[in-house]
Amino acid sequence: MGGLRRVAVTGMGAVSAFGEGVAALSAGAWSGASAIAPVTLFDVSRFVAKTAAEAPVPADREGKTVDRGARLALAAAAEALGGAPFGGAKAGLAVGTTLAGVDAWSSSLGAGAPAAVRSFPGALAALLAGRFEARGPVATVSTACASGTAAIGLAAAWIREGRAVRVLAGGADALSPFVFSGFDALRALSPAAARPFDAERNGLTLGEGAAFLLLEDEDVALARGARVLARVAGYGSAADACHMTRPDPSGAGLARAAAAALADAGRTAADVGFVSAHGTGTVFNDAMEEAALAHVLGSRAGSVPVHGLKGAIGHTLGAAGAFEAVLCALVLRAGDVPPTAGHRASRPGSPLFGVSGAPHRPERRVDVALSTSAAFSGTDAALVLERA
Amino acid sequence: MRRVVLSAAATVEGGGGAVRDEHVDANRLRRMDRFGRSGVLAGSRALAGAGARAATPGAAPDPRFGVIVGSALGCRDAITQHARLLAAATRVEDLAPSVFAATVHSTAAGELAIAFGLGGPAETLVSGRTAGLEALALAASRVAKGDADRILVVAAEGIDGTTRAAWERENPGVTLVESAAAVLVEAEEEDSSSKREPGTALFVNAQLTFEGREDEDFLEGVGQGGVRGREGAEIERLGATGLWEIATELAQPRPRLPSRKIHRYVARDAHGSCASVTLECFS
Repeated sequence: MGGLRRVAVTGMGAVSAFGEGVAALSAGAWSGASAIAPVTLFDVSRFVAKTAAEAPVPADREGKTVDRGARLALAAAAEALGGAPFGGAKAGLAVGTTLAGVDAWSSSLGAGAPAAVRSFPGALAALLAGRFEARGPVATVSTACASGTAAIGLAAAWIREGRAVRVLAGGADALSPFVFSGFDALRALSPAAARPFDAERNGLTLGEGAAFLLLEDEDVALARGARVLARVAGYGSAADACHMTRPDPSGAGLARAAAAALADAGRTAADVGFVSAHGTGTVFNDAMEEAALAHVLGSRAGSVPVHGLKGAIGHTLGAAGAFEAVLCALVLRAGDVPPTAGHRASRPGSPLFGVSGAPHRPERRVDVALSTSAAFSGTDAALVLERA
Repeated sequence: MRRVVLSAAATVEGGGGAVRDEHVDANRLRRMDRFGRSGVLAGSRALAGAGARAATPGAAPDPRFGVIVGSALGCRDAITQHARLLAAATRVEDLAPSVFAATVHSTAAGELAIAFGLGGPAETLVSGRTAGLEALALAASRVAKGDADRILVVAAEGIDGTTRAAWERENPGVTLVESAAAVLVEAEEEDSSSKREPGTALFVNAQLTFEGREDEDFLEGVGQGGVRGREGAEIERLGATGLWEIATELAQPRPRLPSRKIHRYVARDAHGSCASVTLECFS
């Protein structure tokens, strides 16, 4: 982002299966535990898979919103905002989601008079913008499982271009029979729990939640005395242009997105000290990511720790990239790297360095973190975060 | 920052029912939902107008050529289909994996990337009526910055019967038209400012704002302000609003005397978003 405004992370919020708050996410992630458990939200007797990572969904403080995804988003965004000044023409909102509006629509279909407009996917961002009084750019990004990453990339672009001074950016998606049944029909779900990059991985596990970052023009943040937690330094996206549901086995698309994000940040692979991978725990995704990251990291692939958060809080779909950006910021501050829940041993010959069991403290301080997302429809996206 | 030019526009109405396209595999087209087909058809026609060819199987995609799509409803047709199958299902085998696989809003972008080998930046915005103009603004910003040399911008809706009935009940007197529009956004070649082609436009700027509403409860129905068509009836193109007018302007027959005009295109969403794009159009 050379020469332009720098994008500071000055607040973070998360509601995940580990509970409400970034502190709960951090404690859970560094413990190495998994929050995956039998589904209680709905009847899964029709389905093959039986597990998920359910989040405690907070009540709307103003008592207005009943939508599960919206309540998750409101709570995470409010935490990210903290006491920061927000609102007005230079305040923006960028939301990544795959499912916003789907439950409102699908649950009303049987009612004879389904409600059309309230179930538009953009309605969630409008709700947040109204609640937090954003009057600048407000947008909804939906590139399937890369949505959260793309929303943060869009928000960073707004700040660099001067369209906004502060942006709440993140993602939210809630569990429902709609999405659970679909992944079950695709035979993508693990019979037990997702084990990212493990030799014996056998599918993904769905999760739910919301994560938001407060992004801010760094000069403005410093002038108000805000604590800068990390910086969003670069973003890139690319299309596999290969297949709609299977990732390109060569990993070329994800490698293009990662290279674009590094170039955008003015960094090279030699700078990367930590990777938060997409790591769904499916055979195809993780093999593709091994190839992509081996290509991007080159000779350093075996020494840069690669983490998969989805073994702990499940695949939170449109929120996943936002959770993983929060995790990157936490790693940049903590200096050590959490273990990947569910990862016991990589396949023999894996080019990547997976951390199992206990946190790992790299010999070299982590100054630059790379977060990668790969999605249905062949969309890849990557973020580069750096230590403030 | 590079200057950004728009060209090679196309518009399509009722593309959701398409069964063939010159550049897109018929089997792939059949598996898409109405939104996918609508967007793919408009994108394919715009690219054909620019002389682009379908991707050669096995060839590496072009990393400098991207695709950005905007839509208000996105893959609503596929969502409706999966929800209906689920309501009737007694076991998972009653569901159709291919239908669920189409329930992501990025299908149109992904299919166009496959059909034409577009390996560059790929984004899909579903912000409401402003989504098409937001997609154009984002593409212009990416090309100006140098992230890509060319980006196909598509604004598309696919309207299934259930959605049409529900929407028109909430918006009496307004006709929902299944619309898709596409334009090609490119970096201007050096020293070409004096020889701009008719039917092209220079991107000037974009504004994105949110105007807020008294009633923040998005779970209540919201009326969409329609666009008054020639017949006096109100026509609603949802997320294709704005890009539709731009593509129509770029594609219209040219007068004999060359001219340049500043045009401003605006879309407002009833949820509160407003997007405007200013172009210098050449004819």
